[in-house]
Amino acid sequence: MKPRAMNYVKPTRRRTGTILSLAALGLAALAPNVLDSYTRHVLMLAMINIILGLGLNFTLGYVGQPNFGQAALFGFGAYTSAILAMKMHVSFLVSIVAAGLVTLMAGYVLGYISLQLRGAYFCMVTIALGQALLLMASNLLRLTGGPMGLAGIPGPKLAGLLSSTYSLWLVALGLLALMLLVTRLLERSVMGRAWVAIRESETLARSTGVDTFHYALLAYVAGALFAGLGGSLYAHYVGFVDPSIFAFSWSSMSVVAVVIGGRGTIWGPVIGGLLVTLLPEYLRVAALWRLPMFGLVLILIITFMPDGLVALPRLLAQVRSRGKTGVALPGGGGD
Amino acid sequence: MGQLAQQLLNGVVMGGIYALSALGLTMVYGMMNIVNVAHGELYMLGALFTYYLTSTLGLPYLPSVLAALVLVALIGGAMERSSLRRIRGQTMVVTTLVTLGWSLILQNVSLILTGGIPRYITSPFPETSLVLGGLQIAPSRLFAALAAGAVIVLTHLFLQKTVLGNAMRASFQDKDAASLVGINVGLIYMLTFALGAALAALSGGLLGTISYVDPSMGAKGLMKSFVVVTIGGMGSFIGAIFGGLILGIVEALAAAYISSAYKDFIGFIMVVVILLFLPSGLFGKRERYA
Amino acid sequence: MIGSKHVLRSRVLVLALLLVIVSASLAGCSSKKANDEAIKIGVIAPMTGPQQFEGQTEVDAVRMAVDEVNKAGGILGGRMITLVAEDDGAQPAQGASAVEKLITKDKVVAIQGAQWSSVSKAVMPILEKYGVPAVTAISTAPDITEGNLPGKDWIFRVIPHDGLVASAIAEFIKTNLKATKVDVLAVNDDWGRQSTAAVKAELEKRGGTLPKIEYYTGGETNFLPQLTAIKNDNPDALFLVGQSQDGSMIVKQLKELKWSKPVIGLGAFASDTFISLAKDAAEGVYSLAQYVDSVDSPINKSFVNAWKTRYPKSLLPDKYAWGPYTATKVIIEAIKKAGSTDPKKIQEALKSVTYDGATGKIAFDAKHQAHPDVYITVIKNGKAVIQTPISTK
Repeated sequence: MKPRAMNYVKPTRRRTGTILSLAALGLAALAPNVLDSYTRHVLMLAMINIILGLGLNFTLGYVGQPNFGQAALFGFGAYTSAILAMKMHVSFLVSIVAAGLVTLMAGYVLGYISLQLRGAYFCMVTIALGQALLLMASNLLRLTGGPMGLAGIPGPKLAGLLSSTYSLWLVALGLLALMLLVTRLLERSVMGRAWVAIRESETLARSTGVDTFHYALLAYVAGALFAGLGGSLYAHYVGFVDPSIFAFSWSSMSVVAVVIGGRGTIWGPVIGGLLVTLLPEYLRVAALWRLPMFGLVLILIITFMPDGLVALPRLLAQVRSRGKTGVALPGGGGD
Repeated sequence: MGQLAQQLLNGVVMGGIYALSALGLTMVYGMMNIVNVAHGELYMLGALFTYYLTSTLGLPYLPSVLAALVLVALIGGAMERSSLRRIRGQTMVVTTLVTLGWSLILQNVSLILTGGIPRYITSPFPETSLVLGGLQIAPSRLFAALAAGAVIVLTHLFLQKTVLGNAMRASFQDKDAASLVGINVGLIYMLTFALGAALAALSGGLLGTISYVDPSMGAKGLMKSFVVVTIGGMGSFIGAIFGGLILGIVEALAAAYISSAYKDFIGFIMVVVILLFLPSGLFGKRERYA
Repeated sequence: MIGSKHVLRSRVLVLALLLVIVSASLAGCSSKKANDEAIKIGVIAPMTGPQQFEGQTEVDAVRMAVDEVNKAGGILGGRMITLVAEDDGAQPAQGASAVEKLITKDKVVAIQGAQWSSVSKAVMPILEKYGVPAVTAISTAPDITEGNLPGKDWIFRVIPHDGLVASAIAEFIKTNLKATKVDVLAVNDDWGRQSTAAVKAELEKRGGTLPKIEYYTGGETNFLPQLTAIKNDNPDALFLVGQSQDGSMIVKQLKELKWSKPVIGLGAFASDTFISLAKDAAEGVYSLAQYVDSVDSPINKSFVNAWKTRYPKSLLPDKYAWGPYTATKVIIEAIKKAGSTDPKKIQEALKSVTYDGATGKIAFDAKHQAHPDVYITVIKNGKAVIQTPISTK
């Protein structure tokens, strides 16, 4: 999925797009009033997953490095908020901004270390750092509460009258919109093009004078900021944080979201984040077969659509044009 | 002093065991460039089949391990044929996620079929520890460590000296050249992944006697296998041995002289530190910087 | 050409398959018929992941309790009870989703769970938000009932918490084992940490010392480093906290090191699972157990027999079976007492309900904690033999 280098859009079309987006945003902001609370809850978790995925997409999708350490940054944000809210009783606004900034700095350090490596070794270091943080959170009892976790993190009440869940819904939605906008701007900037250049060939990018380490690190740090804000939302929403937030499963789910949605695209993490949250929830009817079915769906999507679900319209168009030419497909085994 | 010697002995033996359990993972990576997250599940299936063959069918231990190995190799072959083959040449993340999907399927279907009850493979070895100069070692553990060495040497010889082994290496070095000289490359891919699965199953069968057997055992051990192959260098057999030994010894010494709560923390930090100085582990092939 | 057509065709097939899976699951959600008569009780348990075995046992136990009541004609004038079990994967966020679903989608009137204390703490605010009570049978973190967490009015606990059993353990170590220097090896989770802290405090009160407290990560299989260090420290006794799987590995590795001092465990060191895994190495291991299958009471005997008849392939019941079974029966008693399926009324009824359980009478104190007996056991000839029942009042 190469982002278009040329992005001239007719002004009228662009205006229609903006109006449509704003309308969608407005509807989403009002949605909790008509949704039942379980759907609201699942969609809230989906928004957190999408925010994480959008952050991960920078390193995984644009720079093309197998980052399995998004949970490390997510956990950093969640713990920062939890500690600030529980021990220093700061307001929600201070807590979420601080979580974003602290995670950004942590991301700089973790990114600086892991980006010394590439490919499988980069992947292993991101996993190892996540596990190391998990064990630190379990052992630094005074700061993190250890495995007992931090319970009773308060939610915000915007304007003093909205419920905490509704306030968080609005905050999450606002962040999400902002992040989509930022992603779009970054994608079309010099930086976005440098990222894609690294993905296509780092050697070539370097030989043309691109400081690849610098740009890769920026991608990592931008992802850290998103993850930190997502972690803060999670902490205030669920109200409880424990070391399992650093678990490999959080990281891998985020990777799944980005890949099955579509790496290096804006809407990929959105589609993927929705799918990895909604599918396991709605598969609850399958009881014990829930996870095997999820695994099967994962394999099928990736095997047949390695570019993710965003490539679906193109795929369907291809199928349709084939159909028109009237070529009968041969029978026999489906391989 | 007594403790140091005992800890070192434990560490070395555990090192062999860790190396054995990481062998399939490092081989599949080295040959096929796939980080097989389902490795733990294949390991678990090796132990689970061995358990059923010995306890339900009453077969002797070693034939059961070999039968389990064949069964799991078939499963591995099926995994490659049905999904991994279609995404050859895709980036590592894509192949990794397919194996993640497989690990969800294999672990949870085993759970549904067995009810998840933890079991125990009866060891053919005496339970009383051997005493060597004041140091204790369990016979089953010693056997597992020695078997680890034997399996590593045999697999290495297989890949280097046999026709099939050469065909495997050739196929992954240059696919087109290999098919030009008449090698059925598709078949070789399948056999290679099956061999990786067989190695995982073999370690599961051999280590099931000193562990318990249940559907979650593989996932629990996966992180340690990652540590071993990363330290040693991904794809390197000799690296797996050294990675295992280093992890085994460091764990033993960390628990004895630093803090057991930080024992695993030290393991993961060690991965990071070693890679910062040796970017492809101790014995890994130099990773392309691209 | 043929190849690409093939690919296309199989892609379409896959798409169709995906659509079927997704729509089937969605349809399954919406087309569930609401039975006006049935009363719904929810369960959350770690049915997948590393705690799957304990989670499966929990669901089996709750199902048995519900079926017993239904077979006897149901409650509130013949209404049947339906069970809705959801997986929490031992993860707080998943537990929160499961409870949201149980309450708002399935409209359960009460919930049995959670198993892990971390999950219980994450779901307590949700219980409060909707006003639905839960009875937990396994979460033993003291602050769930003793602390000041949001939602604490809505959770009840049938199992004695870590603080309540700690004094019994310390007393046994001091008087019966006559040990003053005690080392500890505990799982590094909330339960392992908190029960170790409680036992440490109680032992120190009695003049004991704990020079070496070691922790291991859940799922570990190599305990030799810690055990070798402990053996070298030469304590009078060793205190362990862990589940059956970890516990069996620990005692086996102790045997490998030719350990000879007394060992007392908290967790699953008296269960059939532990004994069947550890075999000879389990002999002589003491344990503090909130439940043992050998409790000598008519209620327990009929419980064990019912379990054996219903799950012949399974092992004998342990606390993961007894606890959730008891909690479910307590919930049903409370519904009967309330004479209503209104969750608020059930919560009120729970405060004063009594139930004769296998290990003594269940009645909740002002903080919603019940006080059945606990047991010190020792394993002899492959059986957990009760030394002394201990009251936790």
